[in-house]
Amino acid sequence: MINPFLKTEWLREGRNIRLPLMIIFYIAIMAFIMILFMVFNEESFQQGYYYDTTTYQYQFLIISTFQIITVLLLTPFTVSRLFIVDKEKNMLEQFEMVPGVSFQYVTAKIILVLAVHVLLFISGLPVSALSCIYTGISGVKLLRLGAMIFLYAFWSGAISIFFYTVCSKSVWAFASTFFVQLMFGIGTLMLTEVFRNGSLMMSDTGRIAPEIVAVCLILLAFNPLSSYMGFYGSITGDIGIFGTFCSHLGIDTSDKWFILLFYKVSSLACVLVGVLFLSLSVWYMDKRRRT
Amino acid sequence: MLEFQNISIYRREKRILDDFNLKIPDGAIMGLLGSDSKAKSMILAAASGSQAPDYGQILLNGVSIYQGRSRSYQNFGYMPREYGFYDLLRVDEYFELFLSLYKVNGRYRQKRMEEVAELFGIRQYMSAFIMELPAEMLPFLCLAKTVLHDPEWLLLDEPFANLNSSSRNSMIKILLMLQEEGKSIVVNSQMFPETRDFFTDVALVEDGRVVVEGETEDIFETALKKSPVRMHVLAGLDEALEVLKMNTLVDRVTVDEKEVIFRFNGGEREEAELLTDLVASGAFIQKFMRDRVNIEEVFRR
Repeated sequence: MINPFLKTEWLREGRNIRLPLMIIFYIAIMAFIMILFMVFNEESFQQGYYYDTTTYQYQFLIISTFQIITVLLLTPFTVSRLFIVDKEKNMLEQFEMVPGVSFQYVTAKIILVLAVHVLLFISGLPVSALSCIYTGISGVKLLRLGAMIFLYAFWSGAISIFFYTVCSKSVWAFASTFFVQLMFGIGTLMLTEVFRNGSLMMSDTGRIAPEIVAVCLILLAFNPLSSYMGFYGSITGDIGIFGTFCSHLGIDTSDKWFILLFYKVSSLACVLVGVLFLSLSVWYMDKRRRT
Repeated sequence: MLEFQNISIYRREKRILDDFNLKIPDGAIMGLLGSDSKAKSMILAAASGSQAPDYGQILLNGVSIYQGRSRSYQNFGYMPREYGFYDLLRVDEYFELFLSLYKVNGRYRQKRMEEVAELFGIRQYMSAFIMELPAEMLPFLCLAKTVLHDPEWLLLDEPFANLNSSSRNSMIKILLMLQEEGKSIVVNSQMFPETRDFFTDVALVEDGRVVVEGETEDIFETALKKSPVRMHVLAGLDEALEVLKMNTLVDRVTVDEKEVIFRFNGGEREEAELLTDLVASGAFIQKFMRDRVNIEEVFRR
């Protein structure tokens, strides 16, 4: 095998009781949301009405939002299981002299994080597919949801792996991961708002300076929720919350190419941030070996 | 030959090794003794390739191990002081991980696993989960992992710690078999009664430097000369002191009632001659013996 850690990590994760428990709870929550929705719309089932699919549209959105939030919440936990820090560091001492081991070690961890979330997505597929059918949404959206989950698992997994590599105590790694994720999620929005208001206060014309608009767009692109909002908007048919935020900055969002490009760039930014954090993890492991 | 040339290592602005020099011949079992356990562990970690020195170089058969790193790591098997295990792995899976890392593949991999399992007597545990193994097996498991890829040099950091005398003897037996196969061994350990005959060479490391090094027998002989002789004289103390005064090899004589303590710089033969002279002088000697040799303490003094 090219990466021997991959087999080891998968065996460890597969033999852990927490993985099946996680899957059971995951499906149970999704099924609960689904049943709850059916209960609230019982007439359409009992009386066989031709129902309005837009009502059910939100069922799919709620379920997909739950899946995305689960990725962001579960990934640090998943990674924490992969790094039982003290034991792991003792293990690391035994093979850190092997060249290229840091890269293999980090890639095995991220692949495992992705595999766990793909497994969760697949296990939740019957519920989300049923929701898709009720809503009348095409299966392509379901595949797109899978891609979004993959993207977020990569982004969140890379950040978590970095902090679990750097921190000597699990609790610090966990706290740092959540803090950085919050900074990307809420911090960028707050910074954008600060820049916007600052620019408006300093401008005589009552318009935001183009440089500030560019900075705000970059900040928004680095917000991981941007790409999900693009997905959200593609289902509801509007420009999405971030599109609205762009209008708030004074950008003409009526141009559909802008919106499309913006959401694609934000997805790309997610990947780049993930790659950056993984590279930092490999670099830090090599540095620790030397010093 | 493994050679440490002027190695200095600093970690967190603290000096761990200071201009450290040591030559370890092929086939030796070198015991690193002394109270500076950080320095001793660092020597092994540096030799394994996991802790690069800040200054100096480590040469294996005249070639720096930090040049052409892709190959040199395969010459060393490193057993760290604190080893972790993946509890949910089976023993054979744990071995496979290390064999894959050391690029031991194909049919030889299985053969090597069987050989090592046979040598360590763990054949029956190969399909067992590591967490199911008895605690006393774990140091042996870690040592087995260390020799899996058939390295020329074994670097063992405190392998005998937490082992009882019987387990220590078993491990020594295995290590001696490995030495017979042509492996050279460097061990960071304190001096146990069992290890006295096990080490062919010893080096005493204090404050990041080598205080003394050499073959174990020579070192012990030197240490023996440095340790005091205790003599209990029941009668004829004055005659005995007169004999001691006349002997040029006797030094620093102290008398406490009937107890006489002195330094004697001679070997075993000279020691026997002195005792004969003492008895011939009419001194009535009940006890005549050297203090137990603790070479770490003797050289530290």
